[in-house]
Amino acid sequence: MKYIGATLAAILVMLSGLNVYAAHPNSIGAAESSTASDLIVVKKPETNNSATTKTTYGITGTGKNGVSVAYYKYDGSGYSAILNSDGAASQTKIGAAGVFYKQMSLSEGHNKFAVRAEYKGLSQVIYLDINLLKREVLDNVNSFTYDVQSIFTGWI
Amino acid sequence: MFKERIKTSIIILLFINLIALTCQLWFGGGLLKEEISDFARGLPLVEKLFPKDEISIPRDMLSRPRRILINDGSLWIAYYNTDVAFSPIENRTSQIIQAFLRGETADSKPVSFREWQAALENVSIYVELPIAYATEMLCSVMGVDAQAAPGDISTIRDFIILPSTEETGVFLLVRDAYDNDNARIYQFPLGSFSLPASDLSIYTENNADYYEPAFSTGVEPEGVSLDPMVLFFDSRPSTADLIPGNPIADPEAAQKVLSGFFTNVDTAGRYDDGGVSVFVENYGDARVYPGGLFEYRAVEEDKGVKITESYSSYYETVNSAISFAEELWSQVGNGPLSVLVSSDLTQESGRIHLTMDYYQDGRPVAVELTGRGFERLGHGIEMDIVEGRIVSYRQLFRSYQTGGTSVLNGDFVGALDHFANDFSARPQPVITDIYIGYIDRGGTDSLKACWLAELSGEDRVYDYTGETQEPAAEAGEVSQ
Repeated sequence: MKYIGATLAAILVMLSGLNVYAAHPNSIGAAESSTASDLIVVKKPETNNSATTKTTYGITGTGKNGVSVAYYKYDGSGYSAILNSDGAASQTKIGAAGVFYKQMSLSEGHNKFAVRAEYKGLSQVIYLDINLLKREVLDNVNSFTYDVQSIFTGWI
Repeated sequence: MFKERIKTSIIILLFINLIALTCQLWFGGGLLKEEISDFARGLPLVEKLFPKDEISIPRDMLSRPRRILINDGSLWIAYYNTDVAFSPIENRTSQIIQAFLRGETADSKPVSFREWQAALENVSIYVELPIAYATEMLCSVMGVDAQAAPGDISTIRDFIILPSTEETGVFLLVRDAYDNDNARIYQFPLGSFSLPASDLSIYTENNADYYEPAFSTGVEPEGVSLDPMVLFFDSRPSTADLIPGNPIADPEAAQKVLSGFFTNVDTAGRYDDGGVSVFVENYGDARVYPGGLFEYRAVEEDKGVKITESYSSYYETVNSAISFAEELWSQVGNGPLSVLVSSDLTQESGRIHLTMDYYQDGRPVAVELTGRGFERLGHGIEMDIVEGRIVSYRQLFRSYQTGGTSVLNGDFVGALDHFANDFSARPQPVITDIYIGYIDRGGTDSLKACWLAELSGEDRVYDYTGETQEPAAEAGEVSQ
């Protein structure tokens, strides 16, 4: 009886580990269906289609403690898991702060990512299209300096 | 004939003198280096001809920003004052800040905190000083006459610099160190500084560490609030262990420290209090703990150790206090005292509470010392000064050596999770900073790098070691 209990406990421990880090597939399709819609909320970018001038971009969001989050990048036909420098898939488990954060390197033009959440058998996929605009730094400055100037000229 | 002999003698004497001075220069470490009298030392010409080659880390670092965050339009890069590449950008920002303190701006207007943040979101340089300063104090620290300094903001901790364009000069935003709603933007005359936006990419192109201020991430953690300038980052730096040492373990070394406080150490009463050496004199007493903690207390405020005149300025008093700590250290430690002032310098009068904390290899070493028989020590050095006299002085005397091993700490979000969990029971906790450093609890074991967090309104640092890994042989940093 003891052995059965220990074996069951070991299996449960193994399964819980799988639940955190091994439940995410290596790749997903371009229209993966979700079985939940409230596991995570992506905070940045604010919309599924967005534009930026940042070549290194932090995707951020919030979610329930214990939710596992994995990151994917579009490879032309589907979305492949993003790998860390050690070759392992980039995954994280949301903790007590309820926050996830992942820096992505962007190429000029459209960068398509997917953020997949998994929790107790439920999954949620959020697709993101981040458009890296051409680096027009001076234009940015000019537009902001215009705002700054307006502080002095009383427009705002 | 007699005259010729005198001339020959003078020439021989001059020649011998030349040989002697050359030997002194080559083998004796220089001319008039330390031996020069204080009277002569005050003369500008003497200062120029025979500059002291002493390094004062706490004094030098007072005028240097703690970190500079550059947004070049494409990414954010942070430079810390211990980075090799810090000086070039610091030199440019310091010129602008000094000009601001000299009152060389053309115009100024109040701005909201939203506008402050909007400025950061655009091409900008954020300059954060190590502590908050009274504006007058900052002028003194930066070597600027305070008379022309703008009086709109009384305490300063950070600035935002906006680049110049062909049509506009540089803009500088300043906010009150304790009140986000009191912020102003200053405009420099066109042509006074040339800092085009394109120059910023010079400082960002070769840096691989990307940071993002909390306000820009859009997330609000559960259980805690984050100061808008807490920096998120993804990399996991490999950080070497530190081996602590106690430079006053030897009783003779402890006596040298005591001589800084007592007029005659030999005649002071002494006894052992459970392993703690206690020294008593008419005007104060001192305790030397086995682990390196040293405590001194004057019996009355006017009986403390005089370090400067009672009418000295705030700046002079702080300077003298730093010199005092350095002089003590020079009696027992090797090399310069590696500490930074960590208490805000915003007080204008009364009792001055000054704290300093150790730095090693570019990382802060927080002290958290508790035990029986003494009050908690939360800094490397804590001292109280009243009218030019030190009335209380406490220091954990510590030397640190870089160890042969290092660790990879867990990631930023993991540390945030830990602190959010730990602080969630507190009423409205606000984390003002999270960074990697060390914590020294007075033990003899090597110190492993850990995550440190600071909470608003608390004068202490919280640590989290969490899961660490031994780094791969050539790993400097890894990305998650």
